[in-house]
Amino acid sequence: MIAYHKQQLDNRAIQEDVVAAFRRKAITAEEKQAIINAYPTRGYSPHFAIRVGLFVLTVVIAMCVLGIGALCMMSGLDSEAALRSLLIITGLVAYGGMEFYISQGHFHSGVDDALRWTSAGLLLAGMAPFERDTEATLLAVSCVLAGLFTLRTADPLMAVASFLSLLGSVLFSLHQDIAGQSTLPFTGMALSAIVYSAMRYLHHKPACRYYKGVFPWVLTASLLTFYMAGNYAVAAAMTGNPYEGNAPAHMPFYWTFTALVPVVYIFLGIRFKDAILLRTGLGLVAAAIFTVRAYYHALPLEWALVIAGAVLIFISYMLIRYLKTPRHGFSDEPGEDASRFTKLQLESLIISQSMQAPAAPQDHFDFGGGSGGGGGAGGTF
Amino acid sequence: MDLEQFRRHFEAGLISEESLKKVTLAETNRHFSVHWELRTLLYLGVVLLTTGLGILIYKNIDSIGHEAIITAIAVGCAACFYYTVKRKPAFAWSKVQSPDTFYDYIVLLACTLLVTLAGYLQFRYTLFGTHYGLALFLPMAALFVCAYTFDHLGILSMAITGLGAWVGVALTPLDILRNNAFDNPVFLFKAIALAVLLVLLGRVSGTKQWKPHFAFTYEHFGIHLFFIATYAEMILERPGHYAWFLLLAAGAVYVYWLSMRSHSFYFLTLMALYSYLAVSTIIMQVWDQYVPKGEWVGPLSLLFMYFIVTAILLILLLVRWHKKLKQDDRIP
Repeated sequence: MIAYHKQQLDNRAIQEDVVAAFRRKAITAEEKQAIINAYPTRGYSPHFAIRVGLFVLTVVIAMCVLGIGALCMMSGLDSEAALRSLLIITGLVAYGGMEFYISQGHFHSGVDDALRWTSAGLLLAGMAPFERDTEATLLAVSCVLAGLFTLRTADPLMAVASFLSLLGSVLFSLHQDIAGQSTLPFTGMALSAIVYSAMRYLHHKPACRYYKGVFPWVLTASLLTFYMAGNYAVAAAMTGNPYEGNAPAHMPFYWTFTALVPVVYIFLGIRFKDAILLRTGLGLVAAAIFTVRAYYHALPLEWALVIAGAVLIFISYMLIRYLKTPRHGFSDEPGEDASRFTKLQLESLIISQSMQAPAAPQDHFDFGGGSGGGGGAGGTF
Repeated sequence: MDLEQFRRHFEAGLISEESLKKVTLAETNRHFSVHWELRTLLYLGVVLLTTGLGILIYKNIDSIGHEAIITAIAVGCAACFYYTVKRKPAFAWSKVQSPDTFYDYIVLLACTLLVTLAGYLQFRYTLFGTHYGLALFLPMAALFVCAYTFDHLGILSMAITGLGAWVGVALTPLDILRNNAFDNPVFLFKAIALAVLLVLLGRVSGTKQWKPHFAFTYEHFGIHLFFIATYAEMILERPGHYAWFLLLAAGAVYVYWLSMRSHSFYFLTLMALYSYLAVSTIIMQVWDQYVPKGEWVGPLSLLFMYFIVTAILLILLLVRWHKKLKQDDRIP
């Protein structure tokens, strides 16, 4: 099913494992090299920056091929069939290109990534219905297409796209009649829960080992959609009747759901040491707070911020101190991905953006003609 | 780590029994790391708290009074600096490990408060009078000093954007295209001079081993600013804009040399994409002068062909450079 060379993928996984073991000083450098030599990888998977460059260039090429195709059949383009066939043919050419480069050993090199996404996009555009009120069909096509691409290339984002299209397709078709509308939240929850359980079941199956990178993404996405389906604000928007004050039926249920689910995620995440549940839960606490604030203003914003900030600092400070020596299987040591993060030096860029030096009132500055001083002052050139 | 796999490595004689034991031990004693989760929460807490306090003060400025707030900021700033100076490891030109987790955050807080204090004093008492340049220069200089004393990359970025603000160039990632007047000739000269200065500072950091890990931050800001500024001048098509193209090309050659030297795939890709954009723009500008008006199907097809062929060539070139760089690659 998967397009990439299986032996190569296995060797890649072994090499990653060995490097991790070496980094934790469990094996010697000679042993690491010996294993890497015993399980060699060939093929082309460059550094992240090169990958971005190759991606951009490949998309440029694909778009120009499409452009030339469009110019060649200029006169025929007024018919829908001609336009569709142009899109589908170009999409198939891109797909063929992807298969070719994968067979040449490209492994997430940017070239195969770009060809995968342009091909999927063109094929979808070529097959999608253009009429009104056909969202459900469009999303169904997109679900199948992205699903096939996921099976062939194990692209995590393709998998997420497929899952979201499936969900969207079902919800849109239910949305079309009034009776279906009231069941929307529960359908969303049920579908997300089914997909989540299925992914959990498949996650560690040896047969699915080539799709290992896909699971965390789909698991996170399904946890998020599960929450969104039962979130009060979303439920109000989806099922609320504007003539009855926009309150959905089962109000207490939705409020309990909104507040409780993030806590349950965090609890389960800690209980089973599941990073996906834990991180999603932490993110959703913010979503829950925003939902509550959108309807009830018990506290002025500034006090809410001060209290929330103080609580967060206190909790994280205490936990960091508490975990100085690892306890209960938890630790505060930077994980494997830490070095990759520092290598990108993202943190300093985030700081330079979010902690801008608040310079004195800007209106008084005048840099002899050039304005734009102090990172602000637009419009007065 | 897959223990089954390591057992197989042991059976194949690739690792010793001792190593297998170590791997098994490491895997069974493996802790669940919540490092990034806790750091994110801490950072979020700081942002929320400071934002909340800011709004609170802003709303109650009449009852609190400026003097009280300025005193509070000054006290907070002094307290942070006292803490950091006391815990500061001895200065060295190499990378200094920070003594504990909170140290970096306190340094950041101290510097933010310092800049806020300076801005506030200027706003309230016009401390620097009408020397607005000075009002930006002093905090910026203080930030540079702090960046080097406390060895903090975040502060260095703040200082560099401060330097930009002092010269009159917006450098923060989201503002560099939005808030800069590239159509102003004086501004362009300033921007290019600043870019060259930053790249040189990065180079000096690297060669003199003055905090060599600072080099990337300097070069990152400098290179982006250089390419954006020269490219902006090129597309404005003022008289003599071909000269700017030559300048851009010279810069590209330097960045190529730099990335080969510092083994940076990031700078290599930047250089390739910016140069490609510039060359294509020049070709289109020249083309535009000679193509007869009214005729567009033929020229457009040629243009598409041009992009297909050159993009393929550039891909081949990038792959080749990548292999060349990788041959003596220090980073795995």
